[in-house]
Amino acid sequence: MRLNPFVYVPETDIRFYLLVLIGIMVPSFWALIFGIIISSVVVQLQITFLLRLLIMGLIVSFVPLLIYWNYRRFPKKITKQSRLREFDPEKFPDHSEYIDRLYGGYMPTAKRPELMYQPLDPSESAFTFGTRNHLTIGMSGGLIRKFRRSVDGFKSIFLHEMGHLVNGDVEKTYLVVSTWRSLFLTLSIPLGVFLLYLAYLTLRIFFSGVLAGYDMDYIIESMNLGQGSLLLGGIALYLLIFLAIVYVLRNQIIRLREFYADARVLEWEESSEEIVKTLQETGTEQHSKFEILTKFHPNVNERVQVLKDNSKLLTPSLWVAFASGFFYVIIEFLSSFLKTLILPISGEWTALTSAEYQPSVELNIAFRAFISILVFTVLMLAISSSFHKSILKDIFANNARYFSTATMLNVIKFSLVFSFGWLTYHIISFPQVLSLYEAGVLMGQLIDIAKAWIPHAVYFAVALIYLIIFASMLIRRSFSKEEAVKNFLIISVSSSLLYVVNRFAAIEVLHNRLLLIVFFLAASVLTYAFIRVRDGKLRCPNCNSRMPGLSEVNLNCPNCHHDLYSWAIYPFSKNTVS
Amino acid sequence: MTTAAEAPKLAKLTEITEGDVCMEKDAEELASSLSYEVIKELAPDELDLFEDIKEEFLRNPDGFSEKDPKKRKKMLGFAVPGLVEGFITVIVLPVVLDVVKKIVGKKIGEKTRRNRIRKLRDEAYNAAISLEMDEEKAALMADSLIGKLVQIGPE
Repeated sequence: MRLNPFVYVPETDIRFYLLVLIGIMVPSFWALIFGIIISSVVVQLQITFLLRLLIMGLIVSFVPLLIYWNYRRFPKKITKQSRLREFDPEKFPDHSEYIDRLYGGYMPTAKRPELMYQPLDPSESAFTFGTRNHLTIGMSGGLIRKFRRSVDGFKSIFLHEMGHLVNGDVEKTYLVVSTWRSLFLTLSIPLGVFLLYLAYLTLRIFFSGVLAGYDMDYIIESMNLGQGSLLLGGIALYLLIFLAIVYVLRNQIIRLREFYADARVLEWEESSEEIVKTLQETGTEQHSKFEILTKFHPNVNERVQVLKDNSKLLTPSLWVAFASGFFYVIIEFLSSFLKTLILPISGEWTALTSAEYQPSVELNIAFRAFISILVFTVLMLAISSSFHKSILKDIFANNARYFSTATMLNVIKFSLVFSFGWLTYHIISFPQVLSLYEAGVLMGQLIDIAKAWIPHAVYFAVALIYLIIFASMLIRRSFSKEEAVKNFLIISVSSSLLYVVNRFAAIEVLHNRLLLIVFFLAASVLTYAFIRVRDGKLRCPNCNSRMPGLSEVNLNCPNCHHDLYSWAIYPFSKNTVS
Repeated sequence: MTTAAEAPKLAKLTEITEGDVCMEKDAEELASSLSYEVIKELAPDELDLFEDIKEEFLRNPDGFSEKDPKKRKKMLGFAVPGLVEGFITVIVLPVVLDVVKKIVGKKIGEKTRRNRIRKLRDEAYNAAISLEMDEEKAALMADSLIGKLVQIGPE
């Protein structure tokens, strides 16, 4: 059987929006740090609470405005760069009539895009772009020609673009790309300001020394060039690594959406035959695993493989794990830091700037727990979506009693990679503090970070184990799409709460790792009781007869033979299509 | 299915000559009509785009083809194909215009036809090869073009 990969919320959507959030937070963070530190140190200006708020307000509103401006100008820029022309239906009556038929079959009128084309581009391709309210499909001249050569090939390519539109990829992609551009620009500004400031300080020391008639060796020593270069180089290296990670994550999300656009074509066509044929005819270029990190498109072979067997879309990806851990720590850490900058009332600022500074485990616990409830719950939707799909595969395709060994192994791998993503931000922050602390202190911190890897993976794994046990139980009890989504939300939110309680209450406040098991057992007992109580009310949505024991999965109602899992299983084909 | 672009009227060569001299102002029009006829034989699936490509060509005859389509990053596109089959129209238009320009301003008498027909054919063939058309297609294109020229030439 072939499973529906669109059942749960697309985890890429969540990562798209979190990337945008990070794109706003990171430049704000840096601009604030530089703004406040430089004005405090140089001008000796007392920064009041109101002034901090004003600076924050200006910077935080500037970044989204920049993103929005980039987002709005994108379509015009693409139209101009690609030299696209308006597609006149009277000039291409056959093409237009055929496209209208495709729209009529699968696309609501409100979502229909503007059509444009580039007559000189001989490649047989199309692409979608635009903003939420103005979507466009750009066709190449080669695609217009393909219509005459192979109308089925034209259809596959055009439906793929419609798949992007229906999946809502366009606005998210271009929003993220705009964020990326803004991030790149706004991160360069603080670095540039810092560089200028450092140059100014160095020159001032030099000229003051020369005018005062000091010995040149003494002047050079006073300029402390080594430490300045180390600090600047460290910050530049940090920004470079950070941008590289965000760049790769962005490309990975966009690339994954290609598989989903193909999956949409398959859903509409109820067969992968034509699109596979078209892909094999048109695409011959293959990229290495390293090259693919910089590409927006997967290799054709990969796409064909996923079209034939969509298990890849139902397997938790380690990219999701890494991105979740990475995004989570950035948002939690930056929120905490921004709060400290704006409200320096608890002595945390002093602690942060002291030479004995330790990683911020003990800082702002209540505030970070509050932020985590908000952020981690959203992230958990992405994680949970991946594992729900994996369990669907276990139950319906692999006939596992609860879940397969592969899913259990995925829990371990996913937890380790999530924890690594969580630590990555601390690791890449190291270059910027190289010049500020003693080597011994830094080494100690690095060892602390390494030591934190496995324990953090364990805290996370506890929440994941809870998630897969109860997701497996609830999927069997979901007899409609609405019920499936409701159960998905219940388990996602409760597993996220379990993680937050474990991490902050058991570990950071009470420092008792045994409590992890206690909290896990308590949550499990409560959830199990909740499910058993609801079992009494489980009925077939068609004949309303009470459902018997659910220890084994019956695809059809024993009474009326209604298909109970049509929300998860496509009716049209086997899992592997030849 | 309806035909793609409306076929330009293929004028007799004598209709665009003054006495025995072909008028330059009509050369582009003749080249366009001849190209359309050649494309109809060689690559009929490109006829939909003929007018657009011609328009781009006439606007910038020296560099009108897509510079490097691969350089444009299509984020949400179907695929970036490894091998792209270029448009024949893009080659036919400049070759035909070149041939037509060689006729313009020259006396086109019976003798000219007889003596120059082979030379024009070879020039068209070589020009197509230099524009990276494959040999088989270049030969077909040159033969087709010369055939049309003979067809519309003076009686």
